[in-house]
Amino acid sequence: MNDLLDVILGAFLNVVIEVQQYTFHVIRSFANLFRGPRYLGDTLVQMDVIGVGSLLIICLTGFFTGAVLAMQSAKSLESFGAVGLTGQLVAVSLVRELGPVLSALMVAGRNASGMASEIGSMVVSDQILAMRALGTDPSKKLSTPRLVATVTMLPVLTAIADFIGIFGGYIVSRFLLHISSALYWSTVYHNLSYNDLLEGLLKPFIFGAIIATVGCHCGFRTYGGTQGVGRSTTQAVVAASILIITVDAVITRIVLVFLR
Amino acid sequence: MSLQSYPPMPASEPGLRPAKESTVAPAIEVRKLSISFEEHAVLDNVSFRVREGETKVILGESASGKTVLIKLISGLIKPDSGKVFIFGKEITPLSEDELMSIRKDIGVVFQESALFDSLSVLENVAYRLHEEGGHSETEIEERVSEVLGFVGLEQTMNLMPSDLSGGMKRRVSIARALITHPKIILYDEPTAGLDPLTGRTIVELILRLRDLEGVSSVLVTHRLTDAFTVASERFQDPNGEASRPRLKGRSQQRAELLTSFVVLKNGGVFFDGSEEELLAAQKQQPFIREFLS
Ligand SMILES: Nc1ncnc2c1ncn2[C@@H]1O[C@H](COP(=O)(O)OP(=O)(O)O)[C@@H](O)[C@H]1O
Ligand SMILES: [Mg+2]
Repeated sequence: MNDLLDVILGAFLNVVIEVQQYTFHVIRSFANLFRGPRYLGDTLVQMDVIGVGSLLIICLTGFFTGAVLAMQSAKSLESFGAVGLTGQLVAVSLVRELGPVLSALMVAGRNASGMASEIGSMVVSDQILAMRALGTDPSKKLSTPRLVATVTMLPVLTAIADFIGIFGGYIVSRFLLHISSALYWSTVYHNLSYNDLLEGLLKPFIFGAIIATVGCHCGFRTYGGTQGVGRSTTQAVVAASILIITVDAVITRIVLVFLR
Repeated sequence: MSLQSYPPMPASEPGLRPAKESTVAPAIEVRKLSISFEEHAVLDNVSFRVREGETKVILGESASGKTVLIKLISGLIKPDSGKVFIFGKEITPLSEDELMSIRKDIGVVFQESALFDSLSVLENVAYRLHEEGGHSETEIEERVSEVLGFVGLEQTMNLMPSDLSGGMKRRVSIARALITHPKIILYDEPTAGLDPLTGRTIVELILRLRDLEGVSSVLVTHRLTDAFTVASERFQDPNGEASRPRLKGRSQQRAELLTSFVVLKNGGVFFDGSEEELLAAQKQQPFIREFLS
C-alpha cells in the first residue's frame, strides 16, 4: 500500500518538476527577446522552414476541411431548408475553430517534431555543450528564433488555411450543391464578425508559442542517445497536440463569455 | 602545414621556455572538486594545477570522470563542492552570462568532436567569429583558412562534417577551438578511436600548440603512447617548415617541464607528477603498473 502511494507521489512530483522546467523554458525563451544577442538570421531561416515549408500541407488541409464542412453542413441545413446558409457555417467554423486548430496540429506534427529531433540530436552529440563552450547561449540561439518564427508564421498559415478552406467550401457549394456564387460569398462576408476574426487570429499566436516551446523543451531534455531523440520527438508531438486542443477549449470558453 | 601567418609567438625563446613557476597564478587550478550523480561520487576531492604553458595529461580508466572534469573546468557543469580557477579567477560562482567571457580564453575539443552538423566546415570553424560579430566575410575566410591550414585541412572548407573521417573531424574541432587563439585548450580523448597514424598527427598538433604557441592545456587520454609522446617530444622549429615537423627526439628534461601527469582512480587523484615520477611510481604502485602495462 505504501509502495503504491510512493509511486503515485513520485509520479506526481515528476509532473510538477516537468511543468516547472517547462515554465522556466517558456519564460527564458520570451525573456531572450529583450536581451541580446538576437539571431535574426536564424529566425529568418526558421520562418522559411515553418512558414514556406508548411504551406502545401496547410493548403491541402484547408481546402479539404472547407469542402467537407460544406458537404456536412449542407446535409444538416437541408432539414431546415436553409442550404443557402452553407457559406456562413463553413466560414464561421473555419475561422473560429478548424482553421486555427487544424493548422496548429499540422504544424505541430511537422515542426514541433522537427525542433525536438534537431535539438535532441544536438544534445546527445554534445553539440549543445560545444555551443555553450564556444560562448553561445543555446536558448537564445535555438529556442527564441524558433519561438518568434512560429508565433509569426502560424497566424499567416492559419489565415491562408481559412481562405483556402472557404474557397474549398465554395467549390463544393457551387458545383455539388448548386448554390449561387453570389449567395455563397455574401453569406460568408456578412456573417464573419470582427470577433470571429479576432478569435481566429488570437488562437494561432498562442498555439504557435505552444508548438515552439514544447518542441524545443522536449529537444533540450533529451537523454539516452538516438533512442532518446526518437522518444523526445514523439513526446513533443503528443504534448503539443494535447496542449493545443486543451488550450483551444479554454480560449473558446473565454471568448464566448467575454467577447459576445 | 604552414605556420607563417599564425599568431605571433610569445616573446620568450621557443626552444628553452619552461612552464612558468608559481609566481604567477596557474592557468588552471582545481581545488577539492567533488561531484556526484545520483548518489554516485564521480569526482571526490580532486585538486591539481596546470601552470601556464604546461600540458597536463589526465589518465584514468573509462568512466573515471575525465569528461566530467573537462566539463567542470570549462564551467559547463557546476561541482557539488570545490573550486575551479582560471588564471587565478574563481569561475565556480559565476553565472552563465559571466562565464561566456571566461570561455573566450578556453577552447574545448570534445570527445566526439561535436561539430555542428548543419553547418559546413567553414561555418563550424568560423563559429566564434560569427558570434563575436564585427568581422568581414573576407577576414573570416582568411582566418579560417589559416587555422585549417594549421591542422592540415585547408581543402575541406566547403565540406559538411558528415563528409569527413573521424580524424578529420577531430582536427576541424581543434581548428574551431583555435580560431580565437584561446590561452587554454582542453582535449577530451582527441585520439580515441583513431588509427595510430592519424592519432599521431593530432598529438603533433597538441605539441605544436604547446611548444610554439605557449598554450596551456589539459589532455585527457587513455592512450599511453600519446601521453608519453607528449611528455618526451617537442617542437623546436618555430617555422614548422614543410609538411613534416622536425620533432627533436628525446629531450626529456625540458619537455618534462611542459608536461605532467594526473592519474584518476576511484574519483580521486591517485598520482600527480612528472613522467619520471610516474615511471618511478610504477615500480611501487600495482595500480599504476597495471594501468601502464
Ligand atoms: N550528466 C550525467 N548524469 C549522470 N551521470 C553522469 C553524467 N555525466 C557523467 N556521469 C557519470 O559519471 C561517470 C564518469 O563519466 P565520464 O566523465 O564521462 O567518464 P570518462 O572518464 O570515461 O570520460 C560515469 O559513470 C557516468 O555515468
Ligand atoms: Mg570521456
